[in-house]
Amino acid sequence: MKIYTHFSTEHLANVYVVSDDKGNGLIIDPSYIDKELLEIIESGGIDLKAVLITHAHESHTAGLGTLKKIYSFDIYASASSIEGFPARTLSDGEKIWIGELEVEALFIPGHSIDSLVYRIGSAIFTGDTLSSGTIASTKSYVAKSLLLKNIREKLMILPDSTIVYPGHGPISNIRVERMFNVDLLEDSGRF
Amino acid sequence: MFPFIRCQEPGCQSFASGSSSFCYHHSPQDVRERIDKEIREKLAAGTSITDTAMVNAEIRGITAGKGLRLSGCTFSFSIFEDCVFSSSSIVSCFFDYCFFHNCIFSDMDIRYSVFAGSSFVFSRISDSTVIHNNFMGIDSIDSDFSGNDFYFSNFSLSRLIDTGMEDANLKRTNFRGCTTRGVSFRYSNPEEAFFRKDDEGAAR
Repeated sequence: MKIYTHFSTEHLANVYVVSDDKGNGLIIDPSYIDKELLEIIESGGIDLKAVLITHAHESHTAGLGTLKKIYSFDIYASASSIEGFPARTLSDGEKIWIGELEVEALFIPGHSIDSLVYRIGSAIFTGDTLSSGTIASTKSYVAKSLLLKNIREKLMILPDSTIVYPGHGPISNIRVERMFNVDLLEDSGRF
Repeated sequence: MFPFIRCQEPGCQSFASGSSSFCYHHSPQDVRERIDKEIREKLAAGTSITDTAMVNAEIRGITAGKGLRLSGCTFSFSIFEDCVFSSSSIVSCFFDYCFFHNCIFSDMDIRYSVFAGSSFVFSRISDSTVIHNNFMGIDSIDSDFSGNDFYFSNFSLSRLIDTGMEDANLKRTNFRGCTTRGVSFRYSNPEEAFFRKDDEGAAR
C-alpha cells in the first residue's frame, strides 16, 4: 500500500491518495485539486476507483467536481449526496474493498452529523474528527461529549502504532495521541 | 509507507523490518546486522531509503550523504548520537520516542513526519523547511531550532529548555501546553502561533 500526502493550500487541508500494489487507488477528502495532486495520480500510474469523504464540509469536498470531470469513480460517504453527486452510503463498521485495499468505515459524529473515519490496514484517515493533539470543534457540549465518547470507544482502542492521517495538520499515531492529545487529556482530567 | 506487517513476537506492536517477520529489535542478530549495515551504507551514500521499518535502532556517528531522501520509514524508539544530516529530505517518517544527542539537521526539507515524545539534547535543526511535523511532547534541552519554517507543526505539551527558536516562521505552529524556559523567539513570529486553545479557535 502506498499513501501520498498532498497539502491543499486553498483550504489548508490534507488530501490523501492511497493505492494498492496493483495501482488501484482512492482519494480521501479531495480538497482543492491542483496540478501537483494530478501529478501524484498520473505519475504513480494510479487507477482512481473511489473517493472517500470523511464529512461534507467544503474543505474536504471542494475538488470533487474537478475530479469528476477527469476520472470515473465511485463516491463513498455517510451522506447520500456530496456536492450534488450521488454517493454510496457507508454505515458504522461497514467494510468495502477498493482493489486490494480493505476499507472500514467508523461512524464518529460530533464535528458534523455525517463524520466518518476510514481505517485501511494500520492507518486511519480521521478528517476533522481527530488531528494531532486536538479533537474536532463542536457546536455544543452534547456534540463534544458524543465525539469524545466515540473517539475513546472506536479509535483509542486501536493498536498504539496505528497511524493517524488527519484532515488538517501533521500526521500522528494512536500512542502519541493517547499521551499528548491535549483535548483528550483535558477531558480525562489529566491536563 | 513501510509495510503494515506487525512483528511476530507476541505482544510486540512494532512493524516488521524489511523481509523479516520480526521488527528490527526482535530480529535475529544476523538479520539485525544486515539491516543495520544496509541502512548505514545508504545513509552515508545519500541514496533514497523508502518504506523501511527500523524500530529500536542505535545509530551513532553517521554523516549522511547530501541528497539523501528518507520517505515512509519508521525509526521509532531509536537512538541517534553524533549524527549529521544536511541538504536532504525526510517525508512521512516516524522518529517518535527517539533520543537525539549531539545531532545536526541543516538545510533539510522535513514534512509530514513525527518526532513526538523524542528528546533533543545538544542538537540542532536549523535553516530547514520543517512544515507539518509532529513534535508533541518533545524534550528539548540546550538545542537549537532557529532559522526554520515550522508552518503547521505541533509542539504541544513539549518541554523546551534553553532552546533557540529564533528567526523561525511560526505561523500556525502549535505550542499549546508547552513548558518553556530560556527559549528565545527573537526575529520569529510567535504572534501567529497558537499558545492556547483560544488562539487556535480564533485562527480557524
